[in-house]
Amino acid sequence: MDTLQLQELYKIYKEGDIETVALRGASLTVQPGEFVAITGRSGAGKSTLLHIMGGISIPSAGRVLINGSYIAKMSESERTVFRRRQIGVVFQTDNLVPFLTALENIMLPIQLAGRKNCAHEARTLLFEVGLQNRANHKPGMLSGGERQRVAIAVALANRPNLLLADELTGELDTATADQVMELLAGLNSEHKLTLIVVTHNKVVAARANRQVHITDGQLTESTGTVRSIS
Amino acid sequence: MINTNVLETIGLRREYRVSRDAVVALGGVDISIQKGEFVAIVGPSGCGKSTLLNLLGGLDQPTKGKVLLDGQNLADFSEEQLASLRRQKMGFIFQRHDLFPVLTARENIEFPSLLGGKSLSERKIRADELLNQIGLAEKADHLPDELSGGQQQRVGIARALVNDPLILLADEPTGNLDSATSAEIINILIRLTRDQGLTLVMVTHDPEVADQADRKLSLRDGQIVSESNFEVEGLL
Amino acid sequence: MNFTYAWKLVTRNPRRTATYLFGLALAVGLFAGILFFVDVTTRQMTATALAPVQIDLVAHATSPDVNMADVVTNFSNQRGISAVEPVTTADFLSAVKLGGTQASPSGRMFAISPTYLQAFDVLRLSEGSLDPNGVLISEAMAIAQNLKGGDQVQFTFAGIDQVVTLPVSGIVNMDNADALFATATENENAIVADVAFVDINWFRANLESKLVPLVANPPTTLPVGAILLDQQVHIKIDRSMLPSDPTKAALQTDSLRRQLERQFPGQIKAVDNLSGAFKTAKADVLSAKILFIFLGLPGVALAAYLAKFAAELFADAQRREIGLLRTRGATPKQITSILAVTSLFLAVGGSVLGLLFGLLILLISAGSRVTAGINPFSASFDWGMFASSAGIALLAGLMLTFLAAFLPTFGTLQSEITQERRTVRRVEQPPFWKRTYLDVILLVAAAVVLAVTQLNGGFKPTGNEGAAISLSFYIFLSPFFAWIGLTLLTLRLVEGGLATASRPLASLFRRMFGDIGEIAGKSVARRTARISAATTVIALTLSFGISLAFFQQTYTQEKQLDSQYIVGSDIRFTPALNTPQLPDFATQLQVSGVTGISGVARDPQALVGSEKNTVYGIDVASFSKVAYLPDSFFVDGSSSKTIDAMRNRTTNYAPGSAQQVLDALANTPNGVIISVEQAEKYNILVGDPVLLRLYNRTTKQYTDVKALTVGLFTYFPTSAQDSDFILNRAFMTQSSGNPAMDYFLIKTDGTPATIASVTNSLEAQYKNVMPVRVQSTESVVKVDQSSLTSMNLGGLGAMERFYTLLVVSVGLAIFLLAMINERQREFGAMRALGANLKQLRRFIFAEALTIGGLSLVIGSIIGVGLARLLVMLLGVVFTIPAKGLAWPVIELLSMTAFIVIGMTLSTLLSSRRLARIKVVEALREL
Repeated sequence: MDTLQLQELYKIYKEGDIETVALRGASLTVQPGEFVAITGRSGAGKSTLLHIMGGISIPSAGRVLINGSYIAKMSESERTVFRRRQIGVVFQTDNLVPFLTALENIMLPIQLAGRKNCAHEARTLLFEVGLQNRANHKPGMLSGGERQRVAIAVALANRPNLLLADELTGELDTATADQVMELLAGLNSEHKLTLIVVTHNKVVAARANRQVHITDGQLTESTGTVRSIS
Repeated sequence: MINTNVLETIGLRREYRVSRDAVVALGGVDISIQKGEFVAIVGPSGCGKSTLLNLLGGLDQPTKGKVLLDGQNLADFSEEQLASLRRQKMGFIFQRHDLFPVLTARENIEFPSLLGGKSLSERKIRADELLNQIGLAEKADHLPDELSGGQQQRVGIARALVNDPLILLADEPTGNLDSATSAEIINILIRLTRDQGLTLVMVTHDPEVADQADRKLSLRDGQIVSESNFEVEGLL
Repeated sequence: MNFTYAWKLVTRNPRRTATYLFGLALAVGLFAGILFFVDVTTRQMTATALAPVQIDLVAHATSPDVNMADVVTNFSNQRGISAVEPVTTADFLSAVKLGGTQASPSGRMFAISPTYLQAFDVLRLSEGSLDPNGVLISEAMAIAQNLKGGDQVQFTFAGIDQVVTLPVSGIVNMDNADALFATATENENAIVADVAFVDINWFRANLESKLVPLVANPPTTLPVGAILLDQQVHIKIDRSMLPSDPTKAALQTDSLRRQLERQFPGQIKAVDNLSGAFKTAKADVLSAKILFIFLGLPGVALAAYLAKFAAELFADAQRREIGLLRTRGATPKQITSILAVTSLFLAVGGSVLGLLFGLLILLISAGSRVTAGINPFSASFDWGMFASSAGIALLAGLMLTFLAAFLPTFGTLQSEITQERRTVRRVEQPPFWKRTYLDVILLVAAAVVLAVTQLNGGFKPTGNEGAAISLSFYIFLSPFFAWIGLTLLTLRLVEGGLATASRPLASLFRRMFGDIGEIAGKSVARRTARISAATTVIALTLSFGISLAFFQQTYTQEKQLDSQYIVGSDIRFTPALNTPQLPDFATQLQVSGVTGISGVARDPQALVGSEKNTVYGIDVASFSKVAYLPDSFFVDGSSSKTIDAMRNRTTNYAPGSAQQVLDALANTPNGVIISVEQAEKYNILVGDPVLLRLYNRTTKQYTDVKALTVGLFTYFPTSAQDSDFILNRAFMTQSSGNPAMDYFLIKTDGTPATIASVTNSLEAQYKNVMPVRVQSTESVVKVDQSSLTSMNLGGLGAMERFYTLLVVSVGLAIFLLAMINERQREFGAMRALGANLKQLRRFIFAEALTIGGLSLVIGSIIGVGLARLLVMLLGVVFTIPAKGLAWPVIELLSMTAFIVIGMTLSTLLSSRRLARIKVVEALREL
């Protein structure tokens, strides 16, 4: 069963009188255990795509299947329940509740899912991202890289099989970005975690075993060489 | 030797304290920009390009080092004088255009010249001129939310040019635009600056845009890591 | 889980929580303050209504066998009773001065114990004392019989052959003694003039045993309605133990009464004298509640709006957090539950704070007299009342939080998550009220209600003169509609007005503030929604402060005029009947502070035709200097308009002038001026002769007098009820042969201090010389007036003013700060484009000036308009209808000053905030 299937997705936004077509017939199929990088310039529709893939947003037209289920047909509650067990999402910023500590942030999805043993599980996850010493720090007291690592732990709190990341390393310096990507790559290869990373960073994209390019709302497989900047 | 550097930085450094970290946004950068050059500053997110641009525009103060505009150290100016300076000699174009939502396209364009105390007729003539140059004469009295993203950015360019500045500083001007519009914008920018011999310093992460510049400065982790088309200057 | 999350949200976001709590506390505080104030006023009004009642309960023995001593002992031990006195009454057939020739009409003898005079304040000794073997007689009896101390009086009782002779040991003033004549059956209320008081032990020893056997078979000589023997117990209740609410107090008193009767079932019947007072108080309390709540509620509404605004400030952050919760797997139900718990925390916290705040406000603004009423440590503190008011305020806080914080956030739950995370502002269509022209509809409705009631004769006091005047709820329907309609209309007009005034505003500001002014002008003209919202809130708050100030001033003024009308001038000095004084007595009353005196003659027994009418005689020269005589009291009697109105019994008289009417009287020695009502009744017009018959007390003779009608009036000072015929004093005393003045009117500079000092010195001067009664506008107890007129509006006014100032300056500050927050990018861009801080500050100031200036103007206009409406509606409460508004100059000036200062400070604060915007951060991509 495919982990993710997008069929001819369209997404149109209306802001006052202005209509923006974010996705124009985007299609994609992702197999379990794949590490896919979606590249493209800002404004090309990456974030929209990510929100749809994450079940947070519903397409204007087209179908989305996650782990074989059509999510668009579900009610808000059903979708939420589905989402929290199957998909983890990491955004570029604002992943953490600013007034909760790192540990509490990780505990949050577990508590919302109604599972027990929240603290213990959260500590395990914190350990997996190497931040066991930052358990009681609030996001404001963490560096950018640390915040992203906590965000990853949060996304994985309910042990989903699909992780989506939007410009994960956007605000990080090279060294930290490397660290974070190492972690993710490890999770992908060891735990068979399906990974879809949206990025405009070529270096990040290079780590993936598959690259998809998004231009003006459409997806195309990228098979050519990566172009360098300088 | 005649100094044709319109903008120069010497040992420019900017540090922040964020909670427990001392973040070095920019670490000892030396740049010289000649009159009439189109310089692109590129690099990944967080490399310090925006910080550099803000320092160049006098919107921020460096922790160490100097910024020289036309040979004058920006640090020597008071806040009021800096404001004047920016108005007269610099034009700013922002990523999110940041047009004033309550002013029409024309009024937006006129804003810097209004601050400069130009008369009504002078302003009108200049605004009309620019509106024509950017091809938006018939949208002169529209409000920003009645214009498309690309149109708004064009107005932003016109606004930056209204006072005939020495130098144009642009921070990811095509960041939010689709490919077609981006190309349009860049074309207009290049045409206008080349026509009037303006210096253009543009921060961008778009390699296609950067390719059109006379010179590319690559920034990474607060340092210039490479330059193309010219000899490498300053510390690496 | 929801609980802990909500708790963390509230406790770990101090700024956010504090802002909302502050807003909520303000709103709840004002509401609570008003409720507490109403409680305190209720208490005061009940006390005021009860004050004139001297004898609270009277228990009558149903038969002479009842052991009154037992009753007295038993009652004295009851809880809630502070004084018990046995009193026995018996009517005498006649009382004659020994050696005198005139027989007196029948009268009543009261047998009291010596302690009665201290326990109950109904009798005032003018002379002498109660002797165990003597008799006290009333002043009227003393005058009629020409009795003085030491004289012997012979009393004749029905059914007793022997005459009872007693020496006069003292004379008693009965002015305050009406309560002695309240009977077991409510219909009878005959006040007897000839009254004698003896010691009860003497009575029991000498008379009672003779009267008791007659009870079973009353003698035929006893007149109908006379009392043969009535054994009573007079009871005084411990007022401090009564609940503040008149309804509850009435119930408690009634149950006490029944409890007392139950002690001696069938043997006594108790009469409650307080019930009448409670009834009056109840009606008044209801009116006061309605009035206060109406006057205070708009302030509360505005404060509530402020709370909502405070909640909105953090709406963005809250929405982002909720968006995050949803991505992390929170179902709508879970989010709703978290929101609910958070709201509950905030509501409780804010409401409790608000309660404390309300108490504080009350203490500060209402003064010490009021404070005493809410001292929880005093024994008389009414916990029940306090608890219910506090409860209502808490509930209000809960509801406000539900509406302001919970509902809006709940609403956004419905939208897509992505939109929330993006904080996109959607385009809104014009609000419901605007599309349906609700503002115009409401204003029309207000006018209609007003017109309909005016056509139906206006808001008449319910009940006739002397009965309680109460306000019906419908009286406030019109102002209520008007207020809401005005709110919306103001919004609409300001929005529209700003939009059209773009160009002139831009050039005006350009001239004032330089180049940046032009931008500010355009900005102000186009940000209509925000600016008009802020302006409306501030203007309306102002308008209520202003309207209340006007209303209060007018009310106080009318209160003063009413008192002056009833008293006649500032002070009325009434010598005792048995010591009449001539006009030149006035010189004896010239104490320091007195600016004028005029003696007034009065004949309460005069006849016009066959009807008794009271006739007054005034000395026009001195009277017009001393009495309050506005032109509005007088009518042009010669005008055809007046004549027609009189013929058709409408009240459409042509207005006259005091000067004209009084001059006419002065120039016609035998002139008389008459009230229009009486003139209509007797078909008298100006120029007609009137035949009066004046009575001389001393000679007991009537004298016919022919007077000439020279003028008409609607009101004449000195009495609300019986001043209908006014003669020249000299003419009156000459004709009747009685030279005595009934009383003297005294004028001072009018300040309460002077009035009090003159009153005191006069009372002191004559204390042991002769019995006198000194009444002043300050002290007169208006038994025939609604206690509504004595309400203390001052406290409420002070509270409202405080709130006006607070809401206006805080409101402006919040608005400006919020504006700066929202427009950080704009200000950053402006700086980047070359605007310096000075220019930005001017920009802010221009906007603040617009809001402030517009608010002041609009608020003032609406305020005066509303005040006029209120005065018109509430005018029924006064005898003399208010003509126009009294200007509260000091209050207005101080309010304006404070508001201007408040606005300036807010602007300064905001510009400091402006300086701290980091351009770089503001311009960075979100």
